[in-house]
Amino acid sequence: MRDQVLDTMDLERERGITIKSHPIRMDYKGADGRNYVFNLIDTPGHVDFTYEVSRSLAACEGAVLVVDAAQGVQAQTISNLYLAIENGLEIIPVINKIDLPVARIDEVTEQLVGLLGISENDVLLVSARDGTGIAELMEAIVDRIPAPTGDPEANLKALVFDSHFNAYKGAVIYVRVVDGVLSTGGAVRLMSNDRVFDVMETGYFRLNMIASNALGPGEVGYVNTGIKSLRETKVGDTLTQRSSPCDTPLAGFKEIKSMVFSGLYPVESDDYTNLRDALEKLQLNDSAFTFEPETSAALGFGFRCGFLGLLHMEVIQERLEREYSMGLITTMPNVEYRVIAKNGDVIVVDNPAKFPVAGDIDKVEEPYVRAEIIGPAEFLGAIMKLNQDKRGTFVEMVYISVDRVRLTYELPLAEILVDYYDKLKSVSRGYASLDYEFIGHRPGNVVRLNIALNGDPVDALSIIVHQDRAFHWGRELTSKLKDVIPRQLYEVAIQACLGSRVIARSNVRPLRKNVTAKCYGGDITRKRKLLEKQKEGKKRMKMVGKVEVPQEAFLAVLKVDRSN
Amino acid sequence: MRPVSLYVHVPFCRRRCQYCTFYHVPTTDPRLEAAFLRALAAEYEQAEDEIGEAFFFPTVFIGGGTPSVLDRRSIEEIIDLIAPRIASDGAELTIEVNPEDVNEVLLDMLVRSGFNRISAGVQSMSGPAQKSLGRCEPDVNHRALGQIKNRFANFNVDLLLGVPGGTPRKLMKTLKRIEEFNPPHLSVYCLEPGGVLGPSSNGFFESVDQEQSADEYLFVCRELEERGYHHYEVSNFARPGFECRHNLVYWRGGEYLGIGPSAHTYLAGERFSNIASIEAYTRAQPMSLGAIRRHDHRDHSQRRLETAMLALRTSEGLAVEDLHVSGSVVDDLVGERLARIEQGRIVVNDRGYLVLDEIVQRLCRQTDTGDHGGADSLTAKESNDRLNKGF
Ligand SMILES: Nc1nc2c(ncn2[C@@H]2O[C@H](COP(=O)(O)OP(=O)(O)O)[C@@H](O)[C@H]2O)c(=O)[nH]1
Ligand code: SF4
Repeated sequence: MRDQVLDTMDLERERGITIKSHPIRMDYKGADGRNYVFNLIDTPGHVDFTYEVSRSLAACEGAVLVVDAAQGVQAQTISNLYLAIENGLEIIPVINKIDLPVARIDEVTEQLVGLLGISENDVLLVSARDGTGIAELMEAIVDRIPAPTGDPEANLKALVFDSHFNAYKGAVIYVRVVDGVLSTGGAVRLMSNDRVFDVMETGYFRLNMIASNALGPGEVGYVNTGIKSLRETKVGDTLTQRSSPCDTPLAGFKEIKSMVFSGLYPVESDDYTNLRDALEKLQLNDSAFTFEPETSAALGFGFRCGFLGLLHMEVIQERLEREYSMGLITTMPNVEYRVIAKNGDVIVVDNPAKFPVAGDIDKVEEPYVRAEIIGPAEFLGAIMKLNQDKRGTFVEMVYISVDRVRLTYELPLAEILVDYYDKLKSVSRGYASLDYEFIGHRPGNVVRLNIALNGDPVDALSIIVHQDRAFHWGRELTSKLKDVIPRQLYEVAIQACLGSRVIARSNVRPLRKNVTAKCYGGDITRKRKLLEKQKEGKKRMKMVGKVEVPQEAFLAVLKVDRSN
Repeated sequence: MRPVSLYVHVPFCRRRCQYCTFYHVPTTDPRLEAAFLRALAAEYEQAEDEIGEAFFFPTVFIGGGTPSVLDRRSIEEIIDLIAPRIASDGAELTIEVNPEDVNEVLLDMLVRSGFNRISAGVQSMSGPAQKSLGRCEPDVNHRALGQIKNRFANFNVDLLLGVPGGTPRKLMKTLKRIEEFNPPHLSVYCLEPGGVLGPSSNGFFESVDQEQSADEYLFVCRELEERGYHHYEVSNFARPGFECRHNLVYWRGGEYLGIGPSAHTYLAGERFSNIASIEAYTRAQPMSLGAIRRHDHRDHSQRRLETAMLALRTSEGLAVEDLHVSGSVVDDLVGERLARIEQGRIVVNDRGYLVLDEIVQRLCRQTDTGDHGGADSLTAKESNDRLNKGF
């Protein structure tokens, strides 16, 4: 069997990550000779996709907590562990990859013991590669995780924990049956919106979906609803019988909210409708992704998109470029600010271009997160310095084993968006891991920094920065833009401005010479092809006024060094 | 009768110049030369049949490679082949020569064969520059130009700009030495970094500096214009009335037949290129046009791009009406002093010629996707009117 069988997206395989949860059913013959059915759900690890984990956990009785023997407990291990505890799940701690020569079994065991307050003997040692410990793990699942309870005679009650959209079958919802029996052809109802439909098909998951006539209590499976949109089939909803619904719905999920926003524009304005179609298609299977039309004076018609985090943003962008082969311009990602105006109005700003002028603002609040960082104690100083530089407030520090610490900081989310993760990795030689959760808006002394090209402010290049860093940002941005904007027909003056005050500037000198060699012997074709090749190169450029601005320019801010 | 210009590509050279971007073979093997002449005659006959209706050559240009390395009898043979179609009155007949090959016997033969224009690959009058280019001593150039001038009223001097180590001052010396011969026509080309041969062993061509080329180009433009030359195309300068009619055919979209390996043809609105291989060319037996040439398919927008790019190379410019961009694009070019408007045509100036590719890109940017202009964009026509009104 190849690796990562459940990670079906190309992107998941390439990046070696899991983005979507994947359920699968397994038959198991126990040491006691009895036949067992395991309903398993594989979940992602990255912070952006924590909601996938929390939904899946709500559908389960127990959790196998897999920790890499070489890497040890990671920040996201802890947040996922807490999710499992909150859901009242039985936890089986597993250390995997013990076959690796760099496995640190004792140390990782110590971490798990400390974390869970369990005995060393409860930790299972496994190598998924060579099969060591797998039999013991299977038995532990049988022994430790309680079999689902639930009354097959009761009215149907099933939790919708995930869904996807299929062009032929419509909304396909993933359910965990709690009580009653869900059968093909059954007349059912979604409790939140009273949407009723007939079950077109129901079944369970192997590597593919296998139709079966019915799903009973404790079983995980899918339902083909035939409903033409995912909007009506909310994840977290309770599925019940149409005629005799159950009394109370199951506890649903918190509405997931976009945390990071960015503008997406087609390079070719002709692609606008294609882009909208593509965004709609993506959203069908990713309700965490939001978008709404916006216009930019510089970039024309596009969309303001909301994402769960940077990885989510990258994944969406990459899928658009790859699956819909579309040239895109992405503006700098930003968080959502609450601006309290002098007249008392509260304005929610998810686009720097819409940030009110300084004179109208009473105060601004920006989103904060609680960040957990786990890393080797030897890098403690560097990690703490990084957090201070990023406007972090220290909360606590805990040693999770002799030389591993868990640090907790509260930080503005905006600080994490730029290069926090890269910096964290670099100051800890790649060993530190990060996880964070949103904790609310707090006052922040932020201002809008505008970039003007040849005197005209370019809305899509505006950013919101902390007051104290505005000058640094201005200098860095103007010099980065100078590097990414190519020399062209006309001189380009780049200015960073706070209001009408220019705080930094740079210049791109005009191109001196760009004329393809002689047109000799009537070879017009070669010359035309050269021009066409140059033109191809210009495809990635956007005309802003009379300035050609390459795609990367709009992300230049991401590359700004903010360390000093 | 239909005028069709003729270009003959002679691919032979004595040796290979590192900066060369033309198809050539560094050999003067008589057997290959004979095979080339046979194939050339065969191609010519086929092409005559293909054109069918009556046509004549108002201009003929024998280029290369180095046509002057051909045996004298070979040159006569080519002339005999095409003579019946050369316009009886006022045809322009040009041949390229390498100054090293120039002597009285050759020039005599050229005059007798009816040539009335010589294009001499002088490149430079500076010893070190000629040496670094692998070309002849300046004295050889000097002697050749003297002999040419004695026999031909119309001749061209090719000069190369951007030779590493060059400066406008050194270029001035070259101009001064050439002034003596008062050439009616000059072509100046910039050395391109790398050339087609890729990186050179000594890094010489990598050191070609675009800034230096640009300085030299503007310097030459100014000097020659001051001396009364008409800068009628990016690289070409002529005393009034001595513009190369053959080249004008290319830029104005006239028809031409090109024969020989790597030659190009433009007939009835279609372009063809011959295979750039003397071996393949001479081995096509029996010769058929299908075997040695390729049709260069162009769609509507590609044809438009060609027309624009060719017209903008010349001092005749391009009719603003034919543009499909918003008026502000033209206004900007004029405002930034890269072009001017003359009788409704946009004409690029010397500074603009240096960045001509960029200008063509800007002016053709929206040609193939139709009008994208927003509320503030004008049609080319409107902008033209505006410009003519003088604001
Ligand atoms: N050496 C070794 N590699 C393993 C073992 N288990 C998984 N891997 C490798 O670890 C990588 C990540 O595996 P995956 O199942 O995608 O992990 P997930 O992203 O945490 O779900 C893959 O390249 C696997 O081949 C193991 O027991 N030993
Ligand atoms: S003589 Fe002319 S054609 Fe021959 S190699 Fe030199 S530059 Fe090229």
